[in-house]
Order: sequence, then structure tokens, then C-alpha cells
Amino acid sequence: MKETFDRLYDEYHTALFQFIFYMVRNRESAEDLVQEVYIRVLNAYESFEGKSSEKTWLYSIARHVAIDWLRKQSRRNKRFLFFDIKESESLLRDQDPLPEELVAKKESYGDLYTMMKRCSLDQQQVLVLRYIQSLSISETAQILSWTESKVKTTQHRAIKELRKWLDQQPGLEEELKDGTN
Amino acid sequence: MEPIKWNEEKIEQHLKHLPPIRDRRSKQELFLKVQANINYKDNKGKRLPSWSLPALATACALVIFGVFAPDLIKNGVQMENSKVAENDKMEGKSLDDSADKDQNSVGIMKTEPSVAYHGPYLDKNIKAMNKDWVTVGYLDEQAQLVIPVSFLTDEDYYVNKVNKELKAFNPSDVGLTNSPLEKATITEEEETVIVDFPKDTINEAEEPLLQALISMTFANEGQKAKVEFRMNGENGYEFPRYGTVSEWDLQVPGAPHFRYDAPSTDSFIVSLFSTGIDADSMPKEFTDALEMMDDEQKRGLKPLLPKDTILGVKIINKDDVEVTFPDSIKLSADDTEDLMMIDAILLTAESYGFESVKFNNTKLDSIGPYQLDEEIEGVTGANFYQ
Repeated sequence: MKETFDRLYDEYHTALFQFIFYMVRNRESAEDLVQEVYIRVLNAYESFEGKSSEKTWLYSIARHVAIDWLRKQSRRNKRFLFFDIKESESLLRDQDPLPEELVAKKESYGDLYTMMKRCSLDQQQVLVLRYIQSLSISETAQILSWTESKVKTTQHRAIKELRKWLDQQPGLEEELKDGTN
Repeated sequence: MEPIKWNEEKIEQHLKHLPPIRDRRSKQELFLKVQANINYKDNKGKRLPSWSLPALATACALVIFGVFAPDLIKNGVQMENSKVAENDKMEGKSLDDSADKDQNSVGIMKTEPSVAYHGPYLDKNIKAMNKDWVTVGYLDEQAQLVIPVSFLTDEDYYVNKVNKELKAFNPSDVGLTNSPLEKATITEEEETVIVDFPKDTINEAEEPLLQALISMTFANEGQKAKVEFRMNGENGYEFPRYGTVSEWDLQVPGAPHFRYDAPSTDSFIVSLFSTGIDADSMPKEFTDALEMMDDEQKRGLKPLLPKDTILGVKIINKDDVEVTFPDSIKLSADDTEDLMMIDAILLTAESYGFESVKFNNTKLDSIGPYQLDEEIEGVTGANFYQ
């Protein structure tokens, strides 16, 4: 098991962690979830039939783990709203702080990161896989079990929507005007 | 200088240059955590196959019979002779016993003919099997109730899993009738499920339960937030009583849970919401829901809590709750109805958003899959059928 773990870690860990982080937007949760991915992968490793590539298999497990978590959070937050309005306000206000790595970059990156959350879950997955992970359309389609044309359409719509929201975002023009672009 | 506007190329470039976020743990640290969890699941996650206990019990009975049968035959005549005297003694004793039992078991029948009960699963056990799951709403034979049935599946899109089970499962095997969803073409777009019925396929009996059925199928864990109806591909479905409906928001409210016995030997746990009562009419608080759970309900829903039971409830925080049994309840680890009582409380707590339940004063270490001396978390699905 150690040997398999070492190899998978060396080849994929940075990418898997990054994928999960950009999906769930919380470092501690990403750490727990990537651990869960390894547990599932190692439990199923012997039965992996190689119908897809190892890389897309790992991503699709990571994607399921992240989506399960997001659904649970969504359910909890919905119910939480009825539990205690003061606590729920504080939860909604404090969630998803910008990671340190983003704080160190120009504000426009932070705005883009914030706006990505307005995209649908399908659109977010495509944005993360295609741009942040630099995967091909074919790889993205395999991971999501979609057709390539659905990947292209979702990607196109996501970029269009991001543009619409970013154009409405105040403050960015000032930063860009200052030549920090 | 002209203000610079976002364009699609700029957005794509920014996306490509979002900073890498790194795991702060070392490889070794992560491996130790992964290894510990795999070992834990190896030891704890595996349960004996369901046939093993009856088989073991039968084998033990045969051995005992083999050992004692010769003596029993030999002593048969002597036993017959002393029968009258013994009976006199026993009658007195059994009267005392039944009085004790009446005091201890607060009006709930502890023995019953064997039932096929399909309980919920614990999330960790589903994961340990590397499986996924899905719940599909069916109707009882009278079309008065929605009965959610859960299935273990391979990982897939939720709607795909629903479609597969609608084709594969025969509800009459467990005393239920078909789901109206079997008549629909079901697809999804983002957080919306699209249900396309051919014209005139939903009858008046199915109509009042349809909202609960679709919610319990698609929104029981927040999978989908909305259903859009289509009729032969056109927007909106024309219902016999509701008229044309384009969409509903989906919601499964917190609600008390009860027992439903199908005409077969199958027993299910269902929410009061299964009766088609409006979500807004459900008890708003978990404690109020528990208080309802010792009352008989309409449409064949039976209480799983003994009459006049008062459970102690301590809400620790938004996720965790403690439930304390009164001294009058004596749980038995072998009693299916007691396991169903525990499941009903867990499912009710889960429906009110609690992630974990700690039971107190059960006087048992474990029942079914639950360690009662620990918090129970991750109750998933309901009425799993395999």
C-alpha cells in the first residue's frame, strides 16, 4: 500500500489537492477530503480496471468526494438558517475567506475567485479542470462523464457569466487603471 | 488612459494564473492518516453477511438437539407423569412474569412475527464499500403514502442513478406499487431536475403525493433544488386538479418518522411528510417531532415509540443532540422493533439537520450497526433494499 500511495502522491497530489481546494474553497476541508480520496482510491485500487486513465479515475473520485461535501454543506446551511439567525448570519459572512496565496496576489485575482463561486457547480468544475488544472477538453469530459460538446458549452457559458459579473464589480476598474493589470 | 474592461481572454488568463494552493501536511503525515483510516475500516467496516447469524443459530440448535435428544426420549415417560404438578407451579409463575413484563414494556409489543426490515446505512459503511447510494420514492398499495426506498449503487450522477433504479427495481417485491416517475423521462440541468411526462399519465390519486415523492427522490440530501415539468417536451404539465404546473421548489422538511408495514412482510420507516401533508405543517422543532412519535397516525403509520414516552432531549449545538431514554424503556439488542425505534429517532434528527445523535440510558452497548456508547453520525438514506 505504501508503494502505491507514494507513487500516486508524487504524481498527482499537488494537482488533486488544488482541484479539491478550488472546489470546496476551504483549506482544512480540502485536507480532509484529499485524505478521503486516497482512502477510496487505495480501497479500490486492486479493482481498477484501467477503462479510463489513472489520472481521470483519480480526478473523478476527487470530484465525487468534493461534490458530496458541497451537498452536505448546502443542506446544513439551508437547515442552519432556521436554527439561529445570528449564528447563521455570522456563518454566511465568515465562510470562504481568501486563501493566503490569493491575498498576496493582485485584487483582480481575488475578485475572479469570488465571482467563480457565483457560477453553477457544473461551471465551476469545468473552470477548475480546464483552466486551473490545464486539462484537455477530452480529459475534462471523461472526468465529468460528459460529452466534449457539453464541456465546451459549459466552459463558454461560464466565461460569459464571469465576464458579466466582473463587469458589474466596482473597484476593479481602478486597480486596472493603475496599471496593475 | 482608458479604463480597462474585462474580456474573455483576460478572464481565461487570470484563471490560468490563479495561485497554486498547497497541502501543508507532509507526505508521511498524510500517509499515516490514510493508513489509520484504512485499517480502521478493515476492522470496523465489515459486517457479517446477513445470513450468517440465522445459519449459526440453526447449527447451534442442531448440536444442542443432538446432545440432549436421547435423554429427552428416555425421560419422556417420567416427564409426562410430573406434568400436572409442574403445570400448576408454572401457571403461577407465568402470571407473575406477565405482570412484570407489563410494567417494563410500556405498551409496545416486543415479540412479533419476523419482518423484512430495510434500515438506513451509515455513511462511513457506504464509503468503506466504495459505493454510492440513491433514494427513489414509491407508493404504497393504496397510493396514500410515499415510501422512500434507498439503493446502494456505483458512483454516478444522481439522476442517472434514479433512472437506473426505476428500471431495475420491482416495488411489488416489497409490497409497494410503482413510482409515477417510471412514466417520465428524467434529465437534469444544474440544480434542476426536469421531469417530462406524456400527457394524461398522472392520475388524481397520484397527484397529491407527487410533490413529496419528487422531493424525497431528488432533494432528500439537497441534491436538487427545483423540478421543472414538461409534457411531451413542452414546458409545463397539465395535472388533473392542479392545472398546468411549470415548476416546484423541492424541499424535504424536518418531520417525525413512523413505521409502515406493507402487505408483504416488509417494514419501512417513513416520514410524516410521506403522507403528502404540506411541508409548512410539519413540527418546526426536533423536540416537537419526537413528542408526536408515540401517537398513531393516519394512513397506516404506526408509532415506534411506546405510548406516553418522554425522551430527554439536549441540543448541544446545531449539529449534535443527545437523546436520553426513560428508565421505563428496556431495549433489546435482538428486537427488530427496538432497532426501528432507534432508526426512527436518528432519521428524525437527521431531517432536522443534526449530524450526530448520542443516546443515553439505553442500557445496551450496541444495537444493529450502532455503537450506543458513541455518538452516531452519518445516517444515510432510508429503507435500503439490496
